[in-house]
Amino acid sequence: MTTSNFDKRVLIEQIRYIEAQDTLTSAADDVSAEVVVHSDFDERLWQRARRLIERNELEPILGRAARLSRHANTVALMVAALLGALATVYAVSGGHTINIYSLLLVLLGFNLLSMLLWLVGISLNLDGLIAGVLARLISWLPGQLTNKSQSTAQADRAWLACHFSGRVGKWQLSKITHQLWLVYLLAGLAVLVLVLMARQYDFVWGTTLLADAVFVKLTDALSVPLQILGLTTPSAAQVQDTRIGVEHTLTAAHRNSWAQFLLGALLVFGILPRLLLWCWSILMCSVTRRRFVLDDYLPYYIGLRQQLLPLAGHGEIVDADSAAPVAKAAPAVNPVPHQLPAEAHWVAVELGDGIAWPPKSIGAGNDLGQVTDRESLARTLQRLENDACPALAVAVAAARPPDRGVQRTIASLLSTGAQPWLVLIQNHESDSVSTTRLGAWYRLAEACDVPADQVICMSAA
Amino acid sequence: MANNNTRGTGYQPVKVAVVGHTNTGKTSLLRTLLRDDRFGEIEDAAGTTRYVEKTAIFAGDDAALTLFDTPGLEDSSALLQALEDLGKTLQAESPAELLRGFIAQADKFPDFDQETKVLRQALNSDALLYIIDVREPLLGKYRDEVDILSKAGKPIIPVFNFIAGHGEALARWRAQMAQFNLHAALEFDTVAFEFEAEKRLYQKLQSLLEPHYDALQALIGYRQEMWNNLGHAAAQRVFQLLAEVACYRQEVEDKGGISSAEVDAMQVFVRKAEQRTLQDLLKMFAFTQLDVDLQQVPVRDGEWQLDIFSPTALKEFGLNAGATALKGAAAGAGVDLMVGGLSLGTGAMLGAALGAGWATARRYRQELKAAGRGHKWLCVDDNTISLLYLRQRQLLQTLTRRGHAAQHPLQLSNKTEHVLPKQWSKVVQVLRRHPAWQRSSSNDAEYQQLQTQVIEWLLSTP
Repeated sequence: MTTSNFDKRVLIEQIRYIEAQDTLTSAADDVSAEVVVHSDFDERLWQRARRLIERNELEPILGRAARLSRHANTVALMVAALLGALATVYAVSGGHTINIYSLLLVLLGFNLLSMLLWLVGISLNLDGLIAGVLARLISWLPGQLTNKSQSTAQADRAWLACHFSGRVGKWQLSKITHQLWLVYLLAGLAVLVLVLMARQYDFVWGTTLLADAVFVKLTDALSVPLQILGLTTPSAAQVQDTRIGVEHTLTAAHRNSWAQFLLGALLVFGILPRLLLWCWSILMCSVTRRRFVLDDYLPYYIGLRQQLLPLAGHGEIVDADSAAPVAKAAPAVNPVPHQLPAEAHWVAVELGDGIAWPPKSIGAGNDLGQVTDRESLARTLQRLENDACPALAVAVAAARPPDRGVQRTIASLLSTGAQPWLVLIQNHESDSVSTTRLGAWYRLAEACDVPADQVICMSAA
Repeated sequence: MANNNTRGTGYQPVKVAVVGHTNTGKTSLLRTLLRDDRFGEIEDAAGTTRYVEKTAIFAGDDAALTLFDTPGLEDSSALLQALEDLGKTLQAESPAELLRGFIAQADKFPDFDQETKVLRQALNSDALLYIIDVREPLLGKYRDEVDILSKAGKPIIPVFNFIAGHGEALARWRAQMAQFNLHAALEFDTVAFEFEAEKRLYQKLQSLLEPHYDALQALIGYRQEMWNNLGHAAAQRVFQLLAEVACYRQEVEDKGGISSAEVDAMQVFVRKAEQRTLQDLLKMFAFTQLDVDLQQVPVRDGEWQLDIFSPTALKEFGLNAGATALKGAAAGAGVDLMVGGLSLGTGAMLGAALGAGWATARRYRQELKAAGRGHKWLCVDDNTISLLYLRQRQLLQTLTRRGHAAQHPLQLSNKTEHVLPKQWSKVVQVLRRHPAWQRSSSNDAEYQQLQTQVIEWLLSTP
């Protein structure tokens, strides 16, 4: 049997309610299996719910509310039929005379009032008027589910919430209400037919407040649709003759026309509208069920979406690192630096905009400038080659990360044979440089054959 | 969220290599795009990524974009020199041919192992995202990098990272890139993230990769929808919290004043409700404690550091702490609430008038009973509910404005004005009148209407 989309969503909601209280057994492979399937989010949710139902044997729990609802519906229909039959029996039990409008009031009056309330409710969207006591009863039910096991109660709550709230609930309740009234009226009609077949009744009507003409006109008006259906209805004179207190013996034809009027009125003004409203409710119920969507904005569904329909894939290394791992020696922090020779020449490497070069403490004669690109490096190397110096201090910005390019540049500058020094310049003394960064500079110094005690820190100011 | 069930685009994924100097935030960019802070490795040191890692961004089932995280270029000047030298001996027909020749002889250049990987990937991609840390000075090595990468003959989009607070540097870099005819540049801060920047990134790719236009358009639509949904879902969760708290009511005796135990119970309820919301929101946005720390969200171990009932919290959000003995509680007589309830609209009025009085009476039964006993109702006061609203709003703004790439605490611009919407007190009043909304979200048209209104307020730009 295929499960409708609405039923699937109800089951998914039931799972959500259960999972709000309890963790269900799942398997990791479920997720990966679901991810590869080309399907939308709802379908993935359904596949997940299906697996969870199977794994956790939830079917009896999830089906309980629907089962109980079916039973309750059957009982309610039987009660409605009984009430309809009893109402008719009560109305005709006063001897051999039937008060026509009194019987119509019993069978149709409350029905019409209820229909009127329902119409007001449906037009103004007033839940309380759509199903009255029925809706209250259903809203009261979830609170009474606390005695059941947690999962069962949660599943029942979810089922009730899906079926009896919102737009679906409105039409579901309407459907039930019209169905109950329809059964009430049909039972009343059936009993009335039986009674009229088995016994002979005289028909009368009476009024205390209204004028007799009102009833004549009313009967006339009510007869119009019945005549269209081919039923015989009482004439104005016959109506007058049936007035309580009028001495007149009813003929069989007269009785028959009143009986047809009574049954026709019940059919046309009671059963037919209810039948139409019932069919409309069934149609609307089916439409709203088809339109029923899960509230995907709930955190539960947002989480599942991220799990079942990920936005991104996992990383996969496609070109692995073939080089030997780089040993990260512990940084030689705070070595005792030697005094930089006064005759040392200076060259800055990629200091950046934040540090002005050269600092005032360095004489113009000792400054070889700053290396920022291939051309400036070539120029500096040329100068070093032409003008040998005893010591060369390479200044770098301590805060910037050293890379292989910087290392190669420094190594080439220090390859001239001069005593190598590495000067880590900080923009402000207060600017702290992380130990990791310092460690990286010491490793670079080591790679460029600069002894740790010839690595010094200096403020740019 | 009706149209978000995209089954897939059915297009071939666009292959994009993320390249750039070492330590400029290539992996960070990917983490932000993937919304995954576990992707790759990030360290404040050169050469952290030493391999090419492939990942994909999906639009439904299909990968719309295949992204390649590459090692950082570290010695471009020497590489360019090596390429120039090779060009003298190798009769390459095109710059791309020269790169292929270099890759073919990679074993002769062991120092450029990482760079070779970048070049290989660049040649195999449809476009290159060249990541720039705008805080860096304009050095020759960066020009050399662009020079080398442009030899691959693939569209290059410079992506300016770490732009927050570096407007001048950004302008300098823009000018620099323009010199290479790279005008289709993009500002994308991987830390102070904005979804619009991500969208612009795909749009730039679209303009440069005409054959992939539709695929990228599908991706933009899908990502936008997902992003909107996430924001909406988060705001809806906040509304649930507000409803839960505003609907709180506890019957209390009025004789000897409200006891501190009763106030405490109310406070515990509010704290727990806010904590559940916080956890839900952090989970939705895949926010870890590390993210919380980095974004300086005042949260510790899944709880707000500043108690909701502390006067400091009220002051911080511009609310008048005042002097109240009830500490966030308000007391009202049951009958008042009932009258308020009856006046809420035509629904209840008509219901009562047309014979549905039983339902109305049942609804206010508790209030009537309390009134009969001379009891009062303890509720959460307006200030606390307002504070909850403002605090969640600020949190939402933080959650929707961050990348997955932060490595250091960052002070995001916190210029949110703590102003309550004009109709705020009306919303609170309506919520208070519906105790049934406390337990779960309702399908009532009135509830839905309020929810829509509050979501709109929460998601509106301050």
